[in-house]
Amino acid sequence: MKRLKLGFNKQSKHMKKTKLTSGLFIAPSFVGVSIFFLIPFCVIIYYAFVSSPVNGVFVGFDNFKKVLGNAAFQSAVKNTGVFSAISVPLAVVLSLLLALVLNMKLPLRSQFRTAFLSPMMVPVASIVLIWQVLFHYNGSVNEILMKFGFDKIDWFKSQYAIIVVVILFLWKNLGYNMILFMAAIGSIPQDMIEVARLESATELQIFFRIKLRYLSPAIMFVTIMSLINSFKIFREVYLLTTDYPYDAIYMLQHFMNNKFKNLDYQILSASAIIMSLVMAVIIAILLIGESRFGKDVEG
Amino acid sequence: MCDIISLSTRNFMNEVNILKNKKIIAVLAAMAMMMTSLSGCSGNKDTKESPKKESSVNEGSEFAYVPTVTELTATTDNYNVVGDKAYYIDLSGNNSVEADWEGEAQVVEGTEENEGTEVNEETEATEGNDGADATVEAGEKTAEIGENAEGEEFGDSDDSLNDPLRLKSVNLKDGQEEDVCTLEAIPEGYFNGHIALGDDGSMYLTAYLWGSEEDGAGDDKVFIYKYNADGEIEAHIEFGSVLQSQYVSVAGIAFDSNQNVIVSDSEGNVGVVDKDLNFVTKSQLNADNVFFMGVNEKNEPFIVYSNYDEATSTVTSGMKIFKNAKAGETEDYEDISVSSLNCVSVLSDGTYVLQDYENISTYVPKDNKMEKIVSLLDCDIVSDTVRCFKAWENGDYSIINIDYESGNSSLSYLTKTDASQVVKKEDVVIGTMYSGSISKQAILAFNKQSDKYRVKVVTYLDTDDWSDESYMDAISDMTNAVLSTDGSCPDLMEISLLNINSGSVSDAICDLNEYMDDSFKNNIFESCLAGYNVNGKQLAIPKTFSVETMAGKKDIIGDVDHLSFEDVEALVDKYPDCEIIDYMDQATMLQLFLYFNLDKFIDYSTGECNFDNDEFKSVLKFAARFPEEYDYDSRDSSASKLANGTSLMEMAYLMDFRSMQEVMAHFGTEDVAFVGYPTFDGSCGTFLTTNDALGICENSDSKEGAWEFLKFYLGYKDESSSYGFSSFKDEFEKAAKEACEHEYVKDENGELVLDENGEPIIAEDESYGGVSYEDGWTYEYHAVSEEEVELTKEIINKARPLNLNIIVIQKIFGIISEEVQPFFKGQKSVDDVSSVVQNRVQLYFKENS
Repeated sequence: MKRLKLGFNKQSKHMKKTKLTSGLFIAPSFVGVSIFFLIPFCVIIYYAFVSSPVNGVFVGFDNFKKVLGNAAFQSAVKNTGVFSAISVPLAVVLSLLLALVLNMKLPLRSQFRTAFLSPMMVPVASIVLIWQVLFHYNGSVNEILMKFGFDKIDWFKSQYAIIVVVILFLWKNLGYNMILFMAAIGSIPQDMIEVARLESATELQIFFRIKLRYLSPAIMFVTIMSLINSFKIFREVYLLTTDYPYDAIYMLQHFMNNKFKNLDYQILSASAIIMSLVMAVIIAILLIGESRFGKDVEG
Repeated sequence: MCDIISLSTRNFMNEVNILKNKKIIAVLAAMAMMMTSLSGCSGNKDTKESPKKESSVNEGSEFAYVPTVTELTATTDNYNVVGDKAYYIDLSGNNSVEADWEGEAQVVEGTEENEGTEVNEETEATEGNDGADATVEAGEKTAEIGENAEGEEFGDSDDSLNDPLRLKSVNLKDGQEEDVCTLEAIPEGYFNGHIALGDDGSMYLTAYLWGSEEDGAGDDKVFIYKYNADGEIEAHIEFGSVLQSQYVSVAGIAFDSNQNVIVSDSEGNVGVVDKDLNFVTKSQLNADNVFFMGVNEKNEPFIVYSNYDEATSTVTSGMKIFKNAKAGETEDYEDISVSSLNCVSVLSDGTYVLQDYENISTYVPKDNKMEKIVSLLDCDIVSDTVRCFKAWENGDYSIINIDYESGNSSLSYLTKTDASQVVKKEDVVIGTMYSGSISKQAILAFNKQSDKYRVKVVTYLDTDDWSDESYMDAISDMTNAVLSTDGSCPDLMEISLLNINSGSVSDAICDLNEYMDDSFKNNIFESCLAGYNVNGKQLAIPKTFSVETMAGKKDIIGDVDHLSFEDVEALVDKYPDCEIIDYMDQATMLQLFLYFNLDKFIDYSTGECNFDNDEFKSVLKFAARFPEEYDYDSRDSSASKLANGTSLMEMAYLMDFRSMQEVMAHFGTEDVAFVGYPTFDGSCGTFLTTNDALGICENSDSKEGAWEFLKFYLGYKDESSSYGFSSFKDEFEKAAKEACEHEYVKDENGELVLDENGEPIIAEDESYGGVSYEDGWTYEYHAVSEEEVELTKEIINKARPLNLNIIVIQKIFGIISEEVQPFFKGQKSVDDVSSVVQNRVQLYFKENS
């Protein structure tokens, strides 16, 4: 008994030491995450509830009301929502289709894959330059339109600007999503498909009933990544059109970037918190949907 | 059984021991990882401190430099330091008698009445008539005013051509001045300030001779004269031809260790002559502008230079040490990060002590290390007045500076003292864009009279980088400084460049209403205060204001006090061969109509914009009539164009009571209407802009000291740097009265000479300065009349304060300029362009409402 007790005490001490050792290993990363993420996030929350960084007077939800009532913010939310609603599904569907096509035994398959992946390797500044040349008022696209008898379109300074940005987003991100899908397709167990074929299932049935189910985690991941990337399109739009573009492509990050430049940290912080809460809700919904839809998938 | 149990126990213990060892190793590894990751957070002490940035506000200094001032009689601003003394040529007291032909000077007072009359050969030159123009009597040879009978021109009489030069010295420790010797007069050229002294007592001087008007500046000449120890000229050489550069401006002259004489011009051309002034060699250094030439501890000449990169608008400085001047071998040190260098002194250990526009710093070439020692202002020295500098081995400094108003010089000997032994005053720090933004004379005067406070200056602009980005970065740095709570916030800040409409910024600046009493506040023009009043909070008080308006002849634009857009259109249609204003192009016309009329298109209270209305489209269509770029080929100045009617109107900038004299002189008549910039609603487009606005920062530790300085500064009169009308009513009226005062004739005792009516006599040669342009147009100011004062006041009373934030204006004009270009080029319609402008500017105001 004594020996057992001795053994048990030794084990709990052992566990404590193990925990301590593990903690020490985790500590550097934890310190880094705290310094660069957690603490700044707490500072942002503080800024969102005070009147100015100098006086620090608590003002409750005034900053949030100002943000939500700001016409530019509302416009930015609408534009960002519309852009994400168009570009994310398109990015997922088109990249999935591309992956399925390139999964077939086609000639020059690897060359096509490389071609679709190459936009990822191009620096942003070069992408912007290419797009400016193409879609400038005196650019190549308008030249082609005029040859066919159409009028010039001011691509960046009209309602057509959103189309240009969507095309830019798809061109940049299809390759990456396609690779993710190709990897996921490669991991679908072939015996399930063979069984389905033996049982006279059509290709469409195989796709929707088997492949799609197996691809659901990948679809979820690609959707989330595309959603995040859709917010990052600000970078290209900013380089194309600077900080006050035509209002059709004025995004949330334009609003926040400009507030940062104007040193309006309170509004910036409040809008950042609103945006992160919305993102968290959307991703939570997606994750819940995925867990329900794909829970019966093997593995 | 027991053996089995003990064996298993032994095995267990062995495993525990192994596990223990592994844990120890693991813990050590974890600690190493943590220390490695945290080491990146340490301060980098090896980083070279940029000498362009001011030191932090609360930097503790180990030493102070206590000045001992000795007045000097020297009036020159060119010295050559040799050993403990500074040598100079004293030109004061020379008779300025013109004698450019043999015999006695034949000078008679020339007037328009006797022009063309013959020279009276018996007239003697005296001090009373020196510099006067000669004339020729009628009937015989005739001459223009300014020429003698043979038609030869008189030389300039400011610097003596033919008088001996007196070489003097000043002891840089105690200020003792003594005559060294008298040098033979320079036969050709004027002494232009550079001396080198040889070991054998010989002296080398540079002299400059301007080319004639017909020949142009390319015929300017530079001479080097060699004097022996008795002051006699032994040799001379025309150096411009040696260097073969068109515009020779000597930067310095020095000996190398072989007693060769090295002369550099300010464009980086270097010539080497031997001690007898025989040409040895010349070379071209890669240097746009040579600041300074001296000799180091090894008797090697060196130059400090700068290069300007037009593409990036940056200035880089460097140093070249002449290892072997004859062979053209130099040791180069690039990017030594010093701007506006004035003087250099070299210590025996090879340390170069640099005196620039703000500080004294040390530079060690082999380490490429620069270290700021002390700010000149902290030593009660205004850097722009420094004419001579020497660093002593014991860490003391000697500085000769000149008061340009009185012409007097003084020697300041700065003794390095332990800071603990010096009475410490409370620091009041002012933040400015660059050090010239605020009057150093005012700071010096305050520091001297205050027992409690001492003002320091922190600057934010990188003076080596004159790009727009650098300017905007400086504004950001100023804004961040005002908002900072880490002790780096200055006590006072130059407010005019900050976005005071931002809540963060206005919260970071004190309300000056709490400091001003009623009498003080009522003494300030309300329109001056209005520009810095945000929601009732007074953020700054400008020291001075100016008025911007437009003027034109009454017989052309009418006797009106305002101008509308339609009036301008009508003028352009009526006078198609004339320019409305000088430098008229699309951008200028756009600015003319929009800059002062933005409130026509923007309702600042609601943020509502109207750039798609007909007026804006009319402005664009009108501006499109003008060229994209102005043709600058015209040799006529703006003044000449106004006088001859080529230009119809002028943008007038009134900053004192004499300004309108020049405006009227431009038109050649006093019948001038000051109508303001064109407006759309018939109101007067004359605007009031303010200058020198300082505000007290909320995060300041010395608000009382800041207010004390601010009060002093607002009342301080500094003729050399302040401009504009005083924002204070009493000072404004005083200036109006002083402007009307004449210079009167005084007797030898300084008493006024009265006429038969007992009134003082106005001096005929009273002079208030003047202005001239390259095409020969000149104007001499006269005492201001009562009518001119009243007219100026009338214009000021009509002026509206210009409440425009530079950042907002820049943003709006940036958008407009970008969008209108396709319309000006005929690629887009005016409707398309105006709708895009409306969309983008409206977005800006929606975001910032």
